[in-house]
Amino acid sequence: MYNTINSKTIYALSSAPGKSGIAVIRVSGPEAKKIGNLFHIDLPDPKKVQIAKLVHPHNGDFIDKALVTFFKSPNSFTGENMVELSIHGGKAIKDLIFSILAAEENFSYAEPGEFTRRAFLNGKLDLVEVEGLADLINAETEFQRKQAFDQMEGKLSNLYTKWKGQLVKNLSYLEATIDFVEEDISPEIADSQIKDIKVVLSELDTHLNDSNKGERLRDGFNIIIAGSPNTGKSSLLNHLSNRDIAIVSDEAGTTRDSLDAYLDINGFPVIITDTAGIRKAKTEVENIGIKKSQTKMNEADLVLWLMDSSINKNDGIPHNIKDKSIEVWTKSDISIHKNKDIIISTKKDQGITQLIDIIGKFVEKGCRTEGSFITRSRHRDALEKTKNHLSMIVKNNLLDVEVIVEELRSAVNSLARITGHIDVEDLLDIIFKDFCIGK
Amino acid sequence: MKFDYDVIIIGGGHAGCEAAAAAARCGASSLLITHKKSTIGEMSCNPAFGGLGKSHLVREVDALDGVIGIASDEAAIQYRVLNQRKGPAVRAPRVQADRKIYKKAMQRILSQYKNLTVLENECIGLLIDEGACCGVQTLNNDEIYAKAVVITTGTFLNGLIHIGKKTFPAGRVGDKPSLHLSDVFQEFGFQLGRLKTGTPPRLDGRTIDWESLEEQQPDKEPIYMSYLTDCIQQEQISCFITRTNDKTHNIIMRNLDNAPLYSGQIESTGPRYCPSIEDKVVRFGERNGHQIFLEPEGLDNHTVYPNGISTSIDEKIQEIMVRSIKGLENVKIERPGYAIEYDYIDPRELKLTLETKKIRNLFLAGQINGTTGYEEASAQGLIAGVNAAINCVGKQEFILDRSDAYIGVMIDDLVTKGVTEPYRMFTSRAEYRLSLRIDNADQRLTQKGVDLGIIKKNREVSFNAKLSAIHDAMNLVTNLTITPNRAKQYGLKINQDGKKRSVLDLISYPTINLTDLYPIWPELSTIDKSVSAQIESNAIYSKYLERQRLEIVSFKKDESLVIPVDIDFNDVKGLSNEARDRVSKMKPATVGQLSRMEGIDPSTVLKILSYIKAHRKISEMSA
Repeated sequence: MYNTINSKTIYALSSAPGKSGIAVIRVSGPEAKKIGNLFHIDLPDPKKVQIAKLVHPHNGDFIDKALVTFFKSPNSFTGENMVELSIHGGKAIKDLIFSILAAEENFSYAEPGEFTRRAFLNGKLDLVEVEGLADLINAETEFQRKQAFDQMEGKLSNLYTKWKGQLVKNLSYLEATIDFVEEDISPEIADSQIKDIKVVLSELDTHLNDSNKGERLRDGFNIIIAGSPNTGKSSLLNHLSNRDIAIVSDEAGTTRDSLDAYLDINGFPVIITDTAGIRKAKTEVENIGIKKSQTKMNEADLVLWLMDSSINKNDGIPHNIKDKSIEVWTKSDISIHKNKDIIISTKKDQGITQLIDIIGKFVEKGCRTEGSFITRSRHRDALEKTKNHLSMIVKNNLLDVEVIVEELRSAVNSLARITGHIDVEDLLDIIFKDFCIGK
Repeated sequence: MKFDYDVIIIGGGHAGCEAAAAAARCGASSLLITHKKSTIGEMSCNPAFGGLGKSHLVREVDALDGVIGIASDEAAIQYRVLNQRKGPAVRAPRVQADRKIYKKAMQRILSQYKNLTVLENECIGLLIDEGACCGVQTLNNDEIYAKAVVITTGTFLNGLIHIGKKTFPAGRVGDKPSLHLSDVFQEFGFQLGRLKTGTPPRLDGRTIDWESLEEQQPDKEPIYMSYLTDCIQQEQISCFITRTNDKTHNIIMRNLDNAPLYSGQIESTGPRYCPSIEDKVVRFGERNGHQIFLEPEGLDNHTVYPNGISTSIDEKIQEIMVRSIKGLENVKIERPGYAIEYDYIDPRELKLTLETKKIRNLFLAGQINGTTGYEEASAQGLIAGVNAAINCVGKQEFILDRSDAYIGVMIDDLVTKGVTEPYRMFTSRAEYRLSLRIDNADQRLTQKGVDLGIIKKNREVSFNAKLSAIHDAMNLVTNLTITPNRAKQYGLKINQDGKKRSVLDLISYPTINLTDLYPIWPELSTIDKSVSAQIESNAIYSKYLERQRLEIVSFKKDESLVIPVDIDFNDVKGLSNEARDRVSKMKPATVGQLSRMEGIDPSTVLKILSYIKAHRKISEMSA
């Protein structure tokens, strides 16, 4: 398995998909240096940048002027020989280069995360770094990139490391009261450990209680367009999709569900989804569609509830989603209502900018603006488990010390799934440093 | 080759005795070689057995029909349970043992093994044939051939005693060291290290002012070391407690240049959990005193062991220092305290059977492997003795893992991580502490021993009787039920939810003991105490035992992923040089062991695992 990965040379676009001024193509593997022969260029010395004219290997046509960088194994991101080509970002140029590379027998387009995985297998990264980098690579917006970067720099891990340090100390002290019972260790020590544990527990609680802001930032803020039939939901979605805030990709395989629009609003990733109109169903098929709409509304971070301003009677926002919904009146060009806060016309492009501003404010509130938040459900899961074990200790004041320690060990082990392993020697180090043991 | 014996055991300390007895129980014709027959079973340091972690080891050795439990019960002159007020998983009996009685008991027990011979001699070399040990060479250059050899030389390898500025070679005070064997190990390229340990001065009890001291009495209801013991065998005595004071500390601080530990004379590492009084004063000088337990060494013996003031400071200063302590103002020192430096073999040279990786049929046990303590030595002796014996007949090796026993925890720690200080057992080292209790060591291990054929008939019978008693009692406690309403009438605080609860349910409440239920069901009082203790333990911990059971399942999975012995780690791509060095040297047996090695991160495990998976059929990997 290992060998098959390594015998291939992989390549991929490593800049963001879509139109861009400059695009970066990354090539890594045993035959990466072949790029030189292929495009009739001289590779620069390692880690030096050089401008070169890329020439088509078969017909000798000029392709593009590129910046070429060469990283020599093992001093590269993947640990393998790597070449990076910075080319002009037009689709035709990228497609041409990819087709040339694809024709080479031992070259293949990288699987998602494959550069990172190679880096990992070659010992260039540890697991936490890999996760941070995976995010970096997938970053579609500036804020996601920053958060992924923060994680690598250890803002989150500093917080978790602090808790781990505290809990390991508590664990050591409690272990000392078990294993070194004949030493002069004050019995009050156990009580003060429980007090410390309470503090960590409440910090952990606050941290967990961030309303999933970090994950939302990673996965996108989820907005649903809903309302009665014929209120203009699809028109609004199409209209938003066609504005320049839409993240449009012309890469194969990145085509999204036709009902979704991917927007970048004030730097935050936003997914807007259209739903079937909600009314009393006339057919079974329609009923299924309506039920689906309701589920989507329940899961949404924000619901845009559309109402037709050209008619008198409109269904109001369903009660259960009132807190996360805003009223949007449509068809302002033929409106019969006055003084509505948010009123738009997709036909006349009226009120749309204001609507986006309002959405932006919601998104900003719902996503991170400062501080560190939990970014992965795996991390959240580990933290929740840590919290549960600590709560068992705090909740129940009748537990024997060895059972408290059992819960605390489990708590520390859960936290260690994020921060790294702890060993009994770490505990003993603390015990022998802080207590005079030696009957 | 004609063999004189199946197994030869070098050394008659706690590891050697247990190894010899275990080999003999396996049916091997065994020879124990010792410098002096009269010191077989000698307690070189403190006159006590057991305590936290250590009594767990004793119970486990006992469950496999070892000798340490029975001998220490025979010599016990004070029983005390530590952590009496904590839960059953961390309660531990400790006994003060009469030195002479212990030695006598051990020598008698060994003499009852028909296929065990004792020889007074010194082993100066090993006979090696094609990478396998096939016997030993003795002082008079006699060669004795055997199919396996177990070495248990304790602190005797290049032992060097320090008292003040004085140093002299010795195995312990009054006994000569083993100088030759160290060279033998070096010759074969074993990684040797040097450790230090110490012992306090011995005091003349007749010169101690006992009246002025705090008394520590024996327990009224003792917990025995052996499952087979059912009564106290010796008169029970008290220990006494005193403390060091500012005066003591000043004397030590003023004389550090006469303390080998601080003058630079001793460079090797001593145990952090058993520091000398010099260490305590230097490191924790701000304390107003360090406690000292005055432990009598025997019933008809006035020697007293002052536990807590191990020292190697100059002899004259020892006297001044000791006399600064309350109750010891006029004390006479019978023998000064000393430090001893000795060679040990890096236990990473060993397999989990305690056979060396470099020389087949050669086993090491006890302090030579970098451990400390009678119990730790004895437990290793058992494993080495059994494996040496079954090695002779080609049976499958006998390994206890971390989920089976403290013995497994200790040996896995030793052979996987090596040691940086003398290794002592602590309960915190056992990840499955709530499952590995002193009350259930027999149920964890005795059947394994029966299968192996090392359990004598009397123990097998009493073990089976206990099993069936537990079975009956379990039936009783699950079948007797009560409604919350009725329970309330008896003053039991439980939820009034209308749900019937069994006795077992009730005793899992921290506030309810089995004895609280005697008024409701008098028949519960017929359950034997050792049986009811166990049922209570299982009930209290039930939630955690289930959790540990699941962890153990996944632990065992990793343990069953065997790393092929012929793997060349140079072929594994992407390992750091450090990791490659470590695994090449250590040759971990399983993926589980690999993942516990020092300096091995998950990515290294992943790489090795994926390499093995890529190059071998998965089916080959499962043991």
